[in-house]
Amino acid sequence: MKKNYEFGKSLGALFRKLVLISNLTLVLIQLSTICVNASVYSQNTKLTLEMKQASIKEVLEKIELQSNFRFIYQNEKLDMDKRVDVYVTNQTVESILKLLFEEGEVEYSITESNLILIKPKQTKSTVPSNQTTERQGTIFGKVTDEFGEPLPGVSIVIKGTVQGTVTDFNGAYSIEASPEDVLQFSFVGMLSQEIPVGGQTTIDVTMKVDAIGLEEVVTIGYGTQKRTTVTGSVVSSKGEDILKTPEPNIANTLIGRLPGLITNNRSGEPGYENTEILIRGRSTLGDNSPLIVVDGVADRAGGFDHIDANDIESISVLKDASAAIYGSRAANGVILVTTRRGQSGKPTISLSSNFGIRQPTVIPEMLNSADYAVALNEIETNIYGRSPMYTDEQIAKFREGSDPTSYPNVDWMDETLRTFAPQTQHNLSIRGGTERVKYFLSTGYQYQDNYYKKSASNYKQYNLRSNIDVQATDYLKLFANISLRQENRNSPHYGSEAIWRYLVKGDPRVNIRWPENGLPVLAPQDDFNPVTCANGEMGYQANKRSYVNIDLGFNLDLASVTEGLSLDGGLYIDRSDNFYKHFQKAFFLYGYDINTDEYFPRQYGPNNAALNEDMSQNLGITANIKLNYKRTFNDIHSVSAFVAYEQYESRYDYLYGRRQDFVSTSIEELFAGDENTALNNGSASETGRMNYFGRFDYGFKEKYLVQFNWRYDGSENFPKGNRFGFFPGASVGWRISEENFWQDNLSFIGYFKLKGSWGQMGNDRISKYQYLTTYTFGDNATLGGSSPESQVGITQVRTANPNVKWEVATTSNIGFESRFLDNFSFDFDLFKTKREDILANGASYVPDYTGLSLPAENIGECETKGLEAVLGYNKNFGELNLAASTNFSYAKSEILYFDEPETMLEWQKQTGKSIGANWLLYEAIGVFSTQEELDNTPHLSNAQVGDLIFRDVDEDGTIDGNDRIRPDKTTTPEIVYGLNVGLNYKNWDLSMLWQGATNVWQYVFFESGGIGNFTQDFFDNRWTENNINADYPRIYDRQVTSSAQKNTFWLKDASYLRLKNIELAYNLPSTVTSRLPFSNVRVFGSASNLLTITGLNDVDPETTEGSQGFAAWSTPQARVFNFGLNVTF
Amino acid sequence: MKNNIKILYLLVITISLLASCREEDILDKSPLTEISEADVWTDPALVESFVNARYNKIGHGWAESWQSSVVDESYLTWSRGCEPYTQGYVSATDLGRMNGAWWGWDNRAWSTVWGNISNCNMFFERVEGVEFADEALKNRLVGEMTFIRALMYFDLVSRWGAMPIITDAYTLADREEFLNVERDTYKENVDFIVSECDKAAELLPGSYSGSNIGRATKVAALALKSRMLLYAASPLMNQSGVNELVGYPSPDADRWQKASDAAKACIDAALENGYALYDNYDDVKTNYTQLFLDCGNSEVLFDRQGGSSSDGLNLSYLDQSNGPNGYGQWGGNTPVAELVDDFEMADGTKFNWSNPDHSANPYANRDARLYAAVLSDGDEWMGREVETYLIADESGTIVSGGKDTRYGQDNWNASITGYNIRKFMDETYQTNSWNFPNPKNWIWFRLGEQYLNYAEALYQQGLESEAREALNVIRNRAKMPDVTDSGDELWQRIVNERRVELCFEEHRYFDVRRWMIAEDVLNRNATGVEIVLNPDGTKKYTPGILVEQRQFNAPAMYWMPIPKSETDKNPNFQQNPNY
Repeated sequence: MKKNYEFGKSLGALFRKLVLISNLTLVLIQLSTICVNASVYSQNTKLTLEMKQASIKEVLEKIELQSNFRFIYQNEKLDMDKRVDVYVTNQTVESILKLLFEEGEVEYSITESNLILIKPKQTKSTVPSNQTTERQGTIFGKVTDEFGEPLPGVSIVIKGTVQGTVTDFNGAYSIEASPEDVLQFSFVGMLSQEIPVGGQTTIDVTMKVDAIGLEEVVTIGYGTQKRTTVTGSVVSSKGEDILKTPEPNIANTLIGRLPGLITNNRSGEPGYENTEILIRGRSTLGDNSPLIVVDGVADRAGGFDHIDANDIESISVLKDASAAIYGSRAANGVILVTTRRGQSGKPTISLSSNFGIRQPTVIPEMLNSADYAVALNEIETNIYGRSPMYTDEQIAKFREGSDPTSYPNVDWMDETLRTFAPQTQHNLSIRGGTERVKYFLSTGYQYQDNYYKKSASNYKQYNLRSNIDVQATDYLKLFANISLRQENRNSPHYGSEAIWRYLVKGDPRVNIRWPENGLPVLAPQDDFNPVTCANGEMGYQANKRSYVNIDLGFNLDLASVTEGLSLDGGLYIDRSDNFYKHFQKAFFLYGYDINTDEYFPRQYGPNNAALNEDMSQNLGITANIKLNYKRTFNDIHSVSAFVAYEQYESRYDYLYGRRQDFVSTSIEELFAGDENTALNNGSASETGRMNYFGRFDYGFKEKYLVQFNWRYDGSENFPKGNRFGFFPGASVGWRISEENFWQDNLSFIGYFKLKGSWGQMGNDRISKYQYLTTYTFGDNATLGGSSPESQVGITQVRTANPNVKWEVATTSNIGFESRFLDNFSFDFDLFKTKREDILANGASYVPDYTGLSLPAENIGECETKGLEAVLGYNKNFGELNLAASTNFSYAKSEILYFDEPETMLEWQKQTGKSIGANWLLYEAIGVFSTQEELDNTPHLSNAQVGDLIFRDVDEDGTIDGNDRIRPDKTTTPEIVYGLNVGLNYKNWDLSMLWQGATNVWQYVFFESGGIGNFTQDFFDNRWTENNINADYPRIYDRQVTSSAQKNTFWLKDASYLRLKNIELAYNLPSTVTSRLPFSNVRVFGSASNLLTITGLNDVDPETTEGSQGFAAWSTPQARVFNFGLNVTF
Repeated sequence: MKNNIKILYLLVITISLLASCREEDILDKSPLTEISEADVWTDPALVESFVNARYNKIGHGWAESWQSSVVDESYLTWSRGCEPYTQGYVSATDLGRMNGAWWGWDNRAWSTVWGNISNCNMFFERVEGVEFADEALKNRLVGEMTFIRALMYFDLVSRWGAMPIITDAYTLADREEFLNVERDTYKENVDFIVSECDKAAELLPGSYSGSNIGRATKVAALALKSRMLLYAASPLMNQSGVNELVGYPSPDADRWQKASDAAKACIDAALENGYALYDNYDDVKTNYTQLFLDCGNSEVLFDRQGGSSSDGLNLSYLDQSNGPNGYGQWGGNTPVAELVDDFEMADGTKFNWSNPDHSANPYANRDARLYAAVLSDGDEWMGREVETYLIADESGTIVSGGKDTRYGQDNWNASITGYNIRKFMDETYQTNSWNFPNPKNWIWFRLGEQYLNYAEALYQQGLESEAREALNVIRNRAKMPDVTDSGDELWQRIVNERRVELCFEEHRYFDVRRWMIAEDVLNRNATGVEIVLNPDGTKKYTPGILVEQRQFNAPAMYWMPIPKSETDKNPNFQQNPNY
């Protein structure tokens, strides 16, 4: 919170900029705007103060509280912590100021908006003697920000001197300087600029935001901290950066921006992006997902994926022991989301509108009908030794395309997908407030359509947020936050996996629609035609989720008890409702009878429709109370500490109903179904947590920093006695650059901080009640002979593990942060985390013949090591500002112990491998090119020439299951990196985010053969008798042929580098906006996933194999082209 | 000062709120959908429910890949884990389809079967302490669980050989004990299963009525005993010097007498209790079709019952997955020609492709059971004739084909053998509706089998006329002429009768092994028939079309390997020979 400059109250224009600059939220809360004529106001306003041994700063704050005056002062040049006694009655502000400062120490000016600038009085004696005294005269000028708004409080110093001035409220300044002088302009959170005076008498300056942001305030668990004093490994991203990616799912916008954060966007289906987030890779065998904390509350209803990006102030990631404050849930790291709050000032109304189009990043290139016919012939002859299916003439007919009814060539993708699908995002927000009440209100709408023609799949979101702060009395602040979100997801009867599966394997020899009349063709694949599925003709699934977050809280200033003491707390309500409806109806596909030359319909789906619906509801209530102490003694020892108590309780209820045989499919509600077919079900569960936690921070001159976090956490997941765990975290920091020896010798490194941390955290993400032996209804018997019916069964849920306890992560981190050569920054972290007592069921040592239903046991041990580095560069080249930053993250996990039997084949063990190394594959080492080679090499009994050669790993002369190996490869990248570039020129700005990942693999094997099409890539490169030196094996038929057995040949390097995001924006010049009712207008075009460089063919590198192990079954990731407009009133 | 007082108030309120939070209130949660150990084992109704759940898990034969597709009965059109058996590469790390089917759950996996045994053990350990008002109910439940555990042991022993006989319910604390378990001998396993069957037979009623139909009966226990003893008497288990895990230490012909006694006892008990061979329709084809669709009929001694899909109780979607592709079905398990050709002519003579009358019209005048088991070209099915013929032009080049060939719809689902399954199939099923309105039960034991068990065991004791008599009971029901052969020819008739009468009912896999003929019959390639419709309207049938090159590795494949994951965990758990 300490700044080079501290601000008192000021006007909206200023604050909007400050928001852009950094996370100054808490500073800003103190601000307001009431415009009264200053001279009148300052003379008429009489103040009464009674303060003993208060610092000057506190006196000024008191004045701010009592009046509309706001102060701006240069902290480091004034002794603001000087203790004074003030007893004044009905005095003007000027007379109080006179009391506070020594005569001649400062000068101050009062602007007409009651902003009072206080600065040290300049004396000629401070001018160095070597300075030529030839003054050309006074330089005038105005300092503005990128949007042309005036910037008050900018410091202007003549280089090499201490002589300088500060801009007034209108951004204007004047300074005496000679032509040889160089003026240095500096301002919190903005890039400093140096401008030679030369012959100029007027120097106007536009300040640019400093992206490196040393002055940034970052959110940490249960508080905020100045970036320079942070000792843990914490990274953060700002709301406006997130906004640059035209992607409604927040999780998809973070990769490449936040080092240490690994995400994989597994699907492009609207609303079902299925994005996997990992902090520093995987470190447990179970659930690796981080804890998400939104506005101070963990695991909130709705999570953070679909929070409107316009509502987000910042996102912080706690990667090391700094997360220990969240104790039992922190082991996988913590993501903190802070939403925007109000600020004093006239209301700022912002409207943001985005219109985008999306398309798949990649669509597999499949064969045309002629090539597929060739492939099918090859399957018959080469695999089965049967006669070919097609004659050469027939293949020629496919190739010619002259008879589309009998010899079609159909591109299923073309038939089902459109070139572009629309998406829109709109947001309207109002932000403002008075001294007592500040508000931020925001409402948004999002729409995303799927790639299908007449898509029955889409995502719609409506959201509303109201964050209100009230200064109820001068010692009590209250806040009330309400957030509502409605997420509607629509999808066809079959999920996207089914649709993509059938599209990818789509048979080009089969029409989807009859060419003559456009009727959908009789189930070209199983029971549906992807066209009629994607457009909802078979029925639909609708999922409506609504989330409500309500926070009520207070902050009680207990300075009257002892200075620096305060109490805060709150009640946080999280409610989520989920409604799911699946309506399935009969539909018609058409066949063609060659004998009668007629098209005949055939009905599919249930005769008279079937409907199931379920509803679930979760209500969670968090309550906490926190006693804080924060004080700086003698400007040297800063102490900050708190202790807190928090509890959480929730209840989940679920209800299900189903009917079929509807009177009419036009009524899609349960009542219209046949009562005799009615089914229903329901269940419920409860959770509870109780915890005590606290933090102690000590800083010596912001140079030596110590922090200690702890949490004593109780979870109902564990039996009495094992319920509570203590999770400590400690970190230290040393700003060596503050030491004299550093400044003397290494002054080009202006900032250097060494830091280290150690901590223990828990993970309790296991099923509950592992300590109880319980039974549940299920596995009903069907009995009754000719009319069997269900009779209730009960089964044991599990055998108890009475000893189940926390999974514990011990994490250490060392690193440094630095800024050097003015424009560069380099941060580095090295970490190690060891996870012990990992909860897994004992399937690795308990034989199946025991028949035990296994509970979780604390049996695993893993370690993850890695590093992160961020290099930043930020510089102005005249009016061009360049900000670039590149980051690199590496995380490698290893399973140290997993209770695997010793006799297990060494090459199949998980122990020693990365977490998630789940593939058990034959090791392909080539292709059999001759019969002789085949005869002399161990092979699977069905292998033939042209098949892959598998390594005889156990060297027993045969290839069997024992020869499968477990490659140390996973679908989680070990290395991710990003490059962020921002260019700013006059009213233009361009930003780019490149993001890459490597040491990542995907199993890419297509479900091809008689059942479905082959990729062109496979077809062109496969082994045939005429191409015996092929890269690929011979033709296969789904899993038939030994090459189609799971093997390393199909395990592909999924490394990639992609242009994740690019945005070009233009801000209308103030000369234009001043004639419009807007204060700012910004138009921009952006794109995501515009370009991808990868070695993978036919699938997006971020995808995963489908549920049966085949490639390209998930909806491809989206490439989005977006146009947007931001208007501020 | 006024402020301080207000602050004090606020503090008091917060602190008292805080003090009201107690650990018990917040952390003492219990599962709302689960029942505690104590509640279950004091309430007879819940104990009965616990028993009910075992019926759910006893398994059936209607997964996507049928057991018949790993032997010379059928071929699975799409690959689903049959290859390790048909192509001879089963191993301890790749047990393929026989360790529970890959798709379409059949509850036959090693772990599921052991889970059942463990649940039974749990029951026996706790049931003694439960007070039943109705002692008869308790006896019945004990009897049911005794039968189910014996059935599960039989299921394991017939596939893997001897198992450790575990009668205790383990907990995690028994690690030392369960990691040192060793397999008992084959003899001990057979003795255990037989004595458990006897015990169950004592406790169980001969039949049930109403909603209890389908529970284990005395007759079911005797049927299991009969099959166990038949297997135990067979050549595979009666070789000299065989590993005691997979057979008796020495052959003993007396075992056949035990087998025939058991079969006789079962037949007698069945007839006493109102069971009878199903003979409701004059038309043999209809009779044999309905035998498997008419749920709870008099021939069924024990079955895994399945309801309709609207109740969610159907066992399988076999109607969807096995019909001909031209109907929009998936042509899954398709009969191979080796089986079809083994169905005799209606006059009891052998079918022979080299007989020009036979080959000109191969599906005419056959044992009518063929028509109830297999759909061949020209059979009436779902409103039209099955078309598995290809169409040739004048030059003899194949240019097209019938609806149920690769020229029809869903061509990758076209039967390659030229045949589709008929047995168990419901002709009223509406393709692709996924609505299976008719209940369908998987029959574990039916009376017909017992006559064949009896015939086989009698023959092996040299009692040929008694054997013929038992055999002819089955043939008479099928309206096939009596067998009059003797000696080895009689034996071949018994073998063939089991093959055709019990096809697709999960007997062949065990029969060809225990008779030790697997290395002959399962080394034959799977073949089909090609039917070509000539421009003149005649059809030409070409047998011997290669469907799959098959391989059986003797002697290893006579038994399944113990899953390596189990022997890894407990090295004392012996692997089967040759793995």
